[in-house]
Amino acid sequence: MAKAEKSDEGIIVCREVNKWFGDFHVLRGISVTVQKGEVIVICGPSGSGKSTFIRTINRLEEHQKGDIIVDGIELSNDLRNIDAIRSEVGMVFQQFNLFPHLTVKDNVTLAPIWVRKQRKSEAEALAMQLLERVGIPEQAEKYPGQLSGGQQQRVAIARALAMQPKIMLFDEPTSALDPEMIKEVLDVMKELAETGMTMLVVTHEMGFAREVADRIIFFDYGQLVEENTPENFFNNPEHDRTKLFLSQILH
Amino acid sequence: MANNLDNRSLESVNVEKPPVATGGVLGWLRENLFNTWYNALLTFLGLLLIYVSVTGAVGFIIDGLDEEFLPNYQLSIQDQNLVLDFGDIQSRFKVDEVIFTIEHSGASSPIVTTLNNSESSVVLGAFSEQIKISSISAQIKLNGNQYQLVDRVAKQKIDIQVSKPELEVYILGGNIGVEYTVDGEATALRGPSTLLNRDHQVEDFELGNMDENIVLGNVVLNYELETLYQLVESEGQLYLSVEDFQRRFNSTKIFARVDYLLDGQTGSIRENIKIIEGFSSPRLQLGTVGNLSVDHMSLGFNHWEVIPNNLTLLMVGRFPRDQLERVWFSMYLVALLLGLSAGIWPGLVRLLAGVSGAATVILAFLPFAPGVQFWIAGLALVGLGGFALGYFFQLRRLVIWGWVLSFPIIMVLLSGVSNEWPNAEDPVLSLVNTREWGGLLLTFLLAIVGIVLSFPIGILLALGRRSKYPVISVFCVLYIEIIRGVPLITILFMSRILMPLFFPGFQIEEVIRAMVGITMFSAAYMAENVRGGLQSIPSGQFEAGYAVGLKGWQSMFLIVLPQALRAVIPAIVGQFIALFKDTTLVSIIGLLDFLRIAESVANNSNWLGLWYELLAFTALVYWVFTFGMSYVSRRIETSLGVGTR
Ligand SMILES: Nc1ncnc2c1ncn2[C@@H]1O[C@H](COP(=O)(O)OP(=O)(O)OP(=O)(O)O)[C@@H](O)[C@H]1O
Ligand SMILES: [Mg+2]
Repeated sequence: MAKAEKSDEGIIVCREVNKWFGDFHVLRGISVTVQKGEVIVICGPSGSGKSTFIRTINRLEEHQKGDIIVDGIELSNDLRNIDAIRSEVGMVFQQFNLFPHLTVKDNVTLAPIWVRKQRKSEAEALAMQLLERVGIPEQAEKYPGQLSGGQQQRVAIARALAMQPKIMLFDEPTSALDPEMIKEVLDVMKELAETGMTMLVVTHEMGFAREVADRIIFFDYGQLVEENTPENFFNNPEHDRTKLFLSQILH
Repeated sequence: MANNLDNRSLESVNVEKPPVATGGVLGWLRENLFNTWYNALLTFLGLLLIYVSVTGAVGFIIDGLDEEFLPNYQLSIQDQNLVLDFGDIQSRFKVDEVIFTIEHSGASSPIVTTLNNSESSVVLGAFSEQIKISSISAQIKLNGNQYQLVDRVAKQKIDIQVSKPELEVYILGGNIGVEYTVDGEATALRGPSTLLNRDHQVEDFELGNMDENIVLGNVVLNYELETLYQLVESEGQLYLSVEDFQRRFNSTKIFARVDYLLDGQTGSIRENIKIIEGFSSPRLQLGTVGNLSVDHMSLGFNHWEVIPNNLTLLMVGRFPRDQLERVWFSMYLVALLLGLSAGIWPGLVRLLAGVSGAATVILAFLPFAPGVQFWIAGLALVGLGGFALGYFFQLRRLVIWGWVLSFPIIMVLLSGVSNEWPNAEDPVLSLVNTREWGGLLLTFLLAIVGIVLSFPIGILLALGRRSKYPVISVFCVLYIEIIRGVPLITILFMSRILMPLFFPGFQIEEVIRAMVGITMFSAAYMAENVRGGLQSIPSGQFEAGYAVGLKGWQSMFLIVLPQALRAVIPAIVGQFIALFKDTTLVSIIGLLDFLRIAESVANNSNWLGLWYELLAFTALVYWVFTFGMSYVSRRIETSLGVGTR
């Protein structure tokens, strides 16, 4: 039913998304619509299902009920749809997940060469451009293990961008970083947001949320509890649970 | 506050159960085995495979056990190699007697032999080294009844010729332990192809394509004392003190060892026989039956000339001497490729090629058999030329294809194409039976085939074991666990006995069977090593692969597998080293590998008992290559270690 539908209403449309791990109900009827170019920050207590939710968007996790439509393509068991969506959605992980056996440059060019079938020279030119953009062109020939955490995360962002995605997902991109490296990653993300990239960011960096987000979504117990502009979210949250959460993390 | 939160959340939690998939056995089957058409196809193929192999094996076992089937029990394998194993019959039913009738072509007259077997199996492998058996049939006496044993391979009865024991008695050689009747006395013998008739006249016979000085074993006679005594009398060269012997063994039977030397194409036992017994020989002393212990002290350790004198034999076994240049050409091909690769890839490859090249140059100056130095020097030159070519032209793709194709090319070079082409008198690549392969050549071929094939098969098995399709994973688990539960020797024997069962009508050569057996064995261990590596790779690597849009197989082969393999290099190389050394086990199925050839040299009358020299030499050769392998593996590890997490 949703397949034919051209989603004028948003680049990501989630309707009543439900997911279970065994009998454990992780996502309970999540409905969100994300417009092109929007930056959405997702926050919530640990274990509330934030990661699980953004991972369903590129099918790293399978949802069992409800619809997820990304750029007009419905996520179903059809492998072609999944591949199509994955090549349009970039993802950045908390643990970077760089490929340790490849150089930084090869990390970035791998997918363009194998998925986009770009020529090597072309892919490398693009890779250098992206590494420039995230500020580490001089590290291109090194291996991930030789870089600092912040540098690694920036490589991971460049790697995701190399596929020229329409949407970027960030799952706590700064949580594994030492404080002095957080800023360099957030700066790259800000710059990315300014260029109009659609972004879904799971983060506890409330400064970033306040400054960059168009909307903030609050998750608790697998439910979408509150969806609000940053201003209202921080200044007048609608829900008690949001207030409680904010009181716990903002001091 | 926290309390408050908990209460509220509990209220608002709408407890819902996950949507239930069709439960029960059928649901599971549908979801796991038939959810897509290719999975269904896989399921059927898997079941078919299991059916074929299980019925094959079960049929073999059941037929072997069922008394009803006994008269049809298969004992014969036609053509060259004879393994007559009737262990089941022997252990379950009392076998009174087994009579084999063996006909062979090639020698001047057919051999008719009656064997009175008291062992559970008879290995007649060495027959084929001299004599082409055209048919063999057997009768078996069970509990007084006589049954005809039928050749199950050919599925036809072979006419039995009742032999007349009183007519002729032959001693047949090779690595055979057989017993037969002389005047009612059991007579055991083993040894090379030697014929003695009942009147102790030696019959000269065609030995076929035999190399000078090849001694294929020892003849051990268990003769009646009287008979042997007569033999001693008629043969001037036999030294035997009958009284001494009698006193010593307190027996009317005499046990002696006959070693003999074949010179040239025909061997005559009359000329060369030496019966050696402890009290008259200065060099050797008699041990127990069939076992000779050598008095090493009197030999000293200084007979190193045994190595250069038998070098060709040690290197290539019985490979036809007029075809040796084919072995050389194979080596030239490898040298060329190695040189080219060294020119292209610096670092490890260049080092390896350099060391081999240096070793070759040194060898060229050592005093080996004359004529060979030129070949060896040529090897070094070809390698050098390859290096120059590779260095200046960087023919990467060509070289990779060269390596891939080198193996089939070498196989064709070594086994030949036809005896007729371009003409029958002077064929370019005449057929060389793989049984003629031997020595270090055979050891290498077995090890290389085992390593090169078991590597990809092992990887596939490891991936298959993790497959989400139960048919594949169950098959892989079964394969791995069954093979790992069985000793290599058993697999080698089974490959000999079972392969004709699964592929009736096909004559699969012994060497090929050994290669298959070794590869199958090694692949199972390989799979477990690789699986260990795969398990050590965090799932985030897969996820990152998926997230950038790579397909499952791409994530596996580009991201996960390279890391997994790197993690288990030491284990894999350890296994390859083990495989290299395990190739020595093929001597048990009658193949003449490096070690076995060394053993046969030590049984040669000219070099009798020079065990220390030969074993030291073989040990050195094995060590050089295994050490080389582990050195290379360490170099690979360090050179790959740059990017470790
Ligand atoms: N593969 C899995 N199998 C079973 N349960 C899981 C699995 N992955 C996550 N969960 C559970 O699902 C719940 C939501 O997990 P999720 O990782 O989405 O939380 P989160 O909101 O991202 O938390 P955090 O802020 O700690 O990252 C948790 O209770 C977790 O234990
Ligand atoms: Mg999380």
